[in-house]
Amino acid sequence: MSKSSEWIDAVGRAIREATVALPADVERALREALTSEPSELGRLHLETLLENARVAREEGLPICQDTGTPVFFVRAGAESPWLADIEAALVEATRSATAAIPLRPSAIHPLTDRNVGNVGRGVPVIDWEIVPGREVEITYVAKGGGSENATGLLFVQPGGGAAEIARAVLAHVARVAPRACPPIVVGVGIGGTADRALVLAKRALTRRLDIHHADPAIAALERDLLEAVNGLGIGPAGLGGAATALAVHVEFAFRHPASLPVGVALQCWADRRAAVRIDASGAAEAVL
Amino acid sequence: MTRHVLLPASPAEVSAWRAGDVVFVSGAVLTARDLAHRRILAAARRGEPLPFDPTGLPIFHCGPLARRDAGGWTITGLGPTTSARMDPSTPEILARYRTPFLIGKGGMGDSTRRALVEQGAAYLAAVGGTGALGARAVRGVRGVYWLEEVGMPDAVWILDLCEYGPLVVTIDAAGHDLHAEIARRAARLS
Ligand code: SF4
Repeated sequence: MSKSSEWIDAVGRAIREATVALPADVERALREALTSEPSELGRLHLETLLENARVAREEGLPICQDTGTPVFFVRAGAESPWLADIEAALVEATRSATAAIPLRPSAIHPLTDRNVGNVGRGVPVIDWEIVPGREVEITYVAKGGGSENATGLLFVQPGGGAAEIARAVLAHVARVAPRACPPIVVGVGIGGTADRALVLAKRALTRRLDIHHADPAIAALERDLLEAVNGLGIGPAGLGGAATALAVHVEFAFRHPASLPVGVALQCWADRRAAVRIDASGAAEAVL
Repeated sequence: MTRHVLLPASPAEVSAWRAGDVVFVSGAVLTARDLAHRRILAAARRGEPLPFDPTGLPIFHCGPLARRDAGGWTITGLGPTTSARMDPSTPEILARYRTPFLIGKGGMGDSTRRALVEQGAAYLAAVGGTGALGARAVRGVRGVYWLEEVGMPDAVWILDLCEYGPLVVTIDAAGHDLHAEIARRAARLS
């Protein structure tokens, strides 16, 4: 088997895994939310989500009928000998997984509304990050439309520090979370330029839910924001309760003195992701 | 309270539902997203017949995931899409087709709320992202329309459901709106 067909297989398996099996950390977070949810409707909804996840896994059915925009986050080792061929493999894996699982055809021409499946200009979405080393790590994320429409790019008054950033993020989340299928995961990208802030927010969504940022000040902001979001009363399915978010993940970059862009990306409770690593020999394996 | 509803539901029955009631529905519903809403209204305004009759059918804001094999269609994913996109067309749809209730997620705007009250209709929220459970509640596909023209999610599907739920009445015929209530509270607390 050629390298590229091995990768197509491995990435195809990751797409299927993400589509039908909720990641263990997400399921754990939902169970924890259930034990502390004071709202009766909230508990009913959390139980429904968990039951849905069980049925999906057991019967090999997609967790959500919106199987999402396929997004690949690639952390590519600069010295990997395989970089030239990876993009084509990701596109081919998306095409074959769309037919095999099947995925819902979700790539539509923005002007004519023509639906082309899941492969078209700019889709699948591929985010490249070049890092040192010889390995390539590919994280697949299924990004639903409901949560994508809740994305925000905020321009916060510079100089207000963490408190001002938290206030702006909270106001945004309060407005959009009900439509993003809560309990949500909140990715926040602080600083950089506007486009970088959004990329950082999106990358923050690939982190495991129970891992905080290594920088203690950022980790503290994550904890404070999570507590504040869960005090909004939006709750599971947006119908009231405590479990509005399962996690808040923050990434940051330095900013211009006059500008403080903050990207906010939400992922729905159906936080579908799976990863594959391609080592220096070209062998592909699932990352657990 | 929890209600198990066998369709068609009479207007008197729907008018009695209250915000916060939990509902499981059985019977025929029609799926339509924003594109289907626009196509329905465009045809109706031109006086052209539709290939299906929406009259009296609940409208489900949903783009199903389906597989076609020798035995016909199998729905493999069924759940709500964001209802706000249907706000601009909904009052006219409700009036033209005497829609008894809507199923969706995220709630709807004030013009829809007023139209629901006028018609004695209701809005029910389904749990977003529960496509697998939804698929298990489908007893059969009665018809699919406009599939070639607009693709699987935007096509109109008439589906036979069995105990689909839990759905929560979030806008009732008396005009109570749980979404608006929760949004106001969240805005105050943020
Ligand atoms: S936002 Fe809701 S409906 Fe959309 S993919 Fe996520 S869980 Fe499914």
